[in-house]
Amino acid sequence: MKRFLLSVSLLTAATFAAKAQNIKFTEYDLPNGLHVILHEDHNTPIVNVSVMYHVGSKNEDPKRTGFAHFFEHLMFEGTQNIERGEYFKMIQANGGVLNANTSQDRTYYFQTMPSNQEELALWMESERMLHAKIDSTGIETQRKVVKEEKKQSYDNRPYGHLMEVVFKNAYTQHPYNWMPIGSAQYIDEAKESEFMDFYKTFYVPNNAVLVVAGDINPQQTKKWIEKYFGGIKKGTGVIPRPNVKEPAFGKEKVAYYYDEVPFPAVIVGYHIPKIGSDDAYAMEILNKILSGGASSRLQVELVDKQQKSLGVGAFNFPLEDDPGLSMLFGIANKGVDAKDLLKAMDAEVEKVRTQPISKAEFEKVQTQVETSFAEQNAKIAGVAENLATSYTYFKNTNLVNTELKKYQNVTLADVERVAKKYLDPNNRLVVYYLPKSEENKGK
Amino acid sequence: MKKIILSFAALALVTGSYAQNFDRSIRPKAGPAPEIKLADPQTFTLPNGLKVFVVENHNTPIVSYSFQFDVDPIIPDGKEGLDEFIGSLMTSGTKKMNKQQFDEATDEIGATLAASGAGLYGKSMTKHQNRLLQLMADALMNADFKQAELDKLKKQSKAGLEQSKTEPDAMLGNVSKVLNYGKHHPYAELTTDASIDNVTLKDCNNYYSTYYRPNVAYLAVVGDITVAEAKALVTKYFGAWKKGTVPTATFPAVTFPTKTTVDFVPRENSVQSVIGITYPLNLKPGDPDVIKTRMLNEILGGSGTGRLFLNLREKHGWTYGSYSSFDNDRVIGHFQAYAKARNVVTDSSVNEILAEMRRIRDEKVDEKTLQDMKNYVNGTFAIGLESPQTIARYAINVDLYKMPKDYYKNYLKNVNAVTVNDIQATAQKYIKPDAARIIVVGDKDEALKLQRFASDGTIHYYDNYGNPIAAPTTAKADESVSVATIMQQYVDAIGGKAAVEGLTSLSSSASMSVQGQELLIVENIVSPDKYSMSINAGAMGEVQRITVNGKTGKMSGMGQSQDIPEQMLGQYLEKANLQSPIEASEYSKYTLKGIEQVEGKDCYVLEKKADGEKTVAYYDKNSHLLVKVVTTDEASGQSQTAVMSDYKEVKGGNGYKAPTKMKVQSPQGAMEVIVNKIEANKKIKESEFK
Repeated sequence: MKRFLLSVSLLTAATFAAKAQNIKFTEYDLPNGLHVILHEDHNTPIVNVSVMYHVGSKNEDPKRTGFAHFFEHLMFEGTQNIERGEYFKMIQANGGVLNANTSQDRTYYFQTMPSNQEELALWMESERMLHAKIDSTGIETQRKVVKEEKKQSYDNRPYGHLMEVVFKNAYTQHPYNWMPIGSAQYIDEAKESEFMDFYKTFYVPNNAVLVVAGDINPQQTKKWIEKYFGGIKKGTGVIPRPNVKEPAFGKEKVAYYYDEVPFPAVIVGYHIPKIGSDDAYAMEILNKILSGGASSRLQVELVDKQQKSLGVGAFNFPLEDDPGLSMLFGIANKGVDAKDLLKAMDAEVEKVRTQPISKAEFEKVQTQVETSFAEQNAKIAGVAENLATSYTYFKNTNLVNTELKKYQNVTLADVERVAKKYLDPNNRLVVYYLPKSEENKGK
Repeated sequence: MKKIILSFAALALVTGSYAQNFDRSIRPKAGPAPEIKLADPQTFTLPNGLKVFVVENHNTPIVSYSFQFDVDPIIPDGKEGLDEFIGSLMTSGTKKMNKQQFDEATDEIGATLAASGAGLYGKSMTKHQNRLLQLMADALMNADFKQAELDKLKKQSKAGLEQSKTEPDAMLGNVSKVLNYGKHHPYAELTTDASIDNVTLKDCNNYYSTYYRPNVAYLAVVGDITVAEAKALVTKYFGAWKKGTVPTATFPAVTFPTKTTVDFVPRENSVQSVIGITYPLNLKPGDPDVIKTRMLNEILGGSGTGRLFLNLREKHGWTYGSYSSFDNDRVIGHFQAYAKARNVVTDSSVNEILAEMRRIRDEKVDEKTLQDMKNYVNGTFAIGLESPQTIARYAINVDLYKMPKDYYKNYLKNVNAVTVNDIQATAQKYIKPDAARIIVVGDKDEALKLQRFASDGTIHYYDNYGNPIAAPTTAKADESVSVATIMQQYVDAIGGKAAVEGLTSLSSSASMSVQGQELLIVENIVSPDKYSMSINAGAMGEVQRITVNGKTGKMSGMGQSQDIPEQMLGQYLEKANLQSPIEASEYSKYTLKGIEQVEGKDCYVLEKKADGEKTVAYYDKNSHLLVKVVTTDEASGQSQTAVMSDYKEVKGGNGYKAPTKMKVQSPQGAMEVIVNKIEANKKIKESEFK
């Protein structure tokens, strides 16, 4: 009897698991083109309201870099019905937390509130989609704030310019060439009308996804969405999207950068297919073989055994357009030359390209992938962002439920194939990010 | 069915037209407040005393096991920092498997496993939990500490310590602990290079076998598991864990300040001051005043909507952030109001922080501010409950701190009951602008301006370990002393004018050891304008080379070569001119600032600004030798300090002396340079400077 009971409880655990991994949602379009995704979950009396606009730094004019990120700031300045400086306060004073971020491909605004404040959050997001306050006062204020942010997060932070150097060299034609923080100079040069044009072009309902997730009543939620967002006019212009073809590296490209950092770092970037492609999934598995966990190859060989590195990593940078970028990085231990570190990293890359990968190692990584999938939907804010991203990039919201399968479809042979194909010495950029003292030694 | 669809369409029509006709300026009102349910975790205790709390949450197929040890360990005197090593040692191999096997086993199941001096945390998918528990039990009961691993950790710890010695927030933290609790209080124990050196493998083993005992442990099991399953698994894996007698440190009584003092920690070349206004606090977890101080703190300086932030950042723009905090603790806690401000506004910032501390005592806060803060606390409390770990933590706190059973259930009720009168009464009880320590880490030139805040009219100076030091003031030099007389005495001290005048060349080789890697630095000079330097790293050969020949210079390394920018060339030409100490045109670029102490010795301070760089040179008043040089890049505020010693006569130099030891502290860390060989007036080939 006891044994029977046990197996029953195991069975329930298993069905629970299967159910938990299926994220239920409904989705529809308003006549003005706004895509709406609703996800109901009553575990905690909170609601997440978020909007993802399909605009990032890649949509910018090369002479106006930093615009998309600047807009992220501007959108907190207020609206016709929300006073300047009130946006943050209003959310907080009603028990919520909020933030926003900008990438190369999209801009994301999100707030988590007690569920009885859902209507307020919907009203506030609709306010800034309809008529955000874009005027000289707000522009002036945010110009200063963004400059301080640049100092804090990039100029004054060790390795703060690393990504900027990598992208500048990895992309010569595609607007992935510059980072979302962009250039302060361009923001200073821009006229007020340019900000308004940007808003009218990109901050339109037909370029946005609204996600409402959590302790909601979908019928009520739909009514509120219709009320607040239904009257917002569809954008009439064409939304410009880059269609530039980035040339292949052709041969190894090398770049140097000197900064106030304690140790040299080496970054190797390989062009790979864009996210969502079969080969990109295989590359992610490969990257985990190289650097996922304490027993991964780079960690064991470079950090533990040879002690040449203080930290190593390999990952795909999530980019919507082709080509994507897979990166390998290492920070040199004290007294280790950057070139020497690269040699040791290359030895590991050569191994995955030329020697078979064991089944056990492949399965270990598949287990890690499965675990990280199981974890990522633990919080409502995470579920909401995954829903928004899946729709924005792939127009396939259900990818949140099927993506694990894509990883599981990758075979050992696929991993070996992509290693040979993409980790090619002629398909790469090498960046040496070195301490300033190495630039002017003997001072 | 059709009817229903029709009515839906009708509804859509109605709402559609409704959408066109409403006043957008009306803010939606909140719905009825949702009920916040705080689940009770299930709990049981194993016969060995392990207390287990289980919170079921089947949203994801993940389970986590978190051990927390209720210990106040006794760290032997002189071995501070010992507890920092235990966590890493525990997960670096056991009697059954070495580090690599242990890591491999953890990754195989995609688990997270991390340990600290007072805890162990593991997480995996439910289906892999048996393996995870095996590993955790192995780490808790059968860890096998290895000397080599300890040596590696000690090395890492020292590297971190080196950085923190000049890190202003770390300096403030150290000094605050010592001044608030007293040097011999366990809460004020500070790790030093010496205390790290003193830690032995035996100490670590003792600590491990003494404190990692089930009878002082709490285990939170959270996630996709039932209580019955948890009980069976925990019993299976931790039932054999043996009880032990666990000693507890004793805590000396703390002295509360009765007046406000100013305690200054000088930090060379600071561009910002770090300010902490602080005092010890007798406020224990579970005390009814804790919730009141939380609300008080939210208004005073809890976040970006607190008064400190609004005043110092939003109104004055002096700082990136300013906050306050109440640390409640069952032994002794503390209050702190904090800001990081530009040098010139150090005293103004202190003034405004004290003013805000007084204001919240003297004036009632308005109802709306308090209500907004209550809403914020209510909302974030609910958001926090989304994570089942929060529920486990609350339950453990109740047991650990002997709080009322319903403390967290009544938390929001008690938050909502706080009145503006309560805030003022609480402020008058706990906010003490007139019995506090104003601790500032910053440039010594800012110190005297803080005198007006000190009830005793004195600035007390401390080093970064909270030891009292003499005032680092610049005394006036004697009328008869000038840059010229200092340089003359210096020249006499390094061998006399004739020797310096006669110097034609200098060649030296020095070694520098950085974490086991030996670097060799070879320098060649032909006065007045030829200079070369090469850095060799053992088997790797030459990694960097600089050559200067008259008006041009080159630097190469890493297979790259470039011309030296003009503004940098000056520094090398200055080095190349061996006669500069006797040339008035050179030394007159310096001005005499006065007398300061370097390592307890009086020194003349000379300062020069050129090419965007500030150079401060210290000449010993008695030996007349140059003992310290600080260079600061004026744009970035980054500085480098070199301390010279062991002056020795140079071969072939007719009595000329040069330092043979140099300690360099830079943003990249600290290093020591030892000169092995140095020779003067030797013929150096022209090709050396090409």
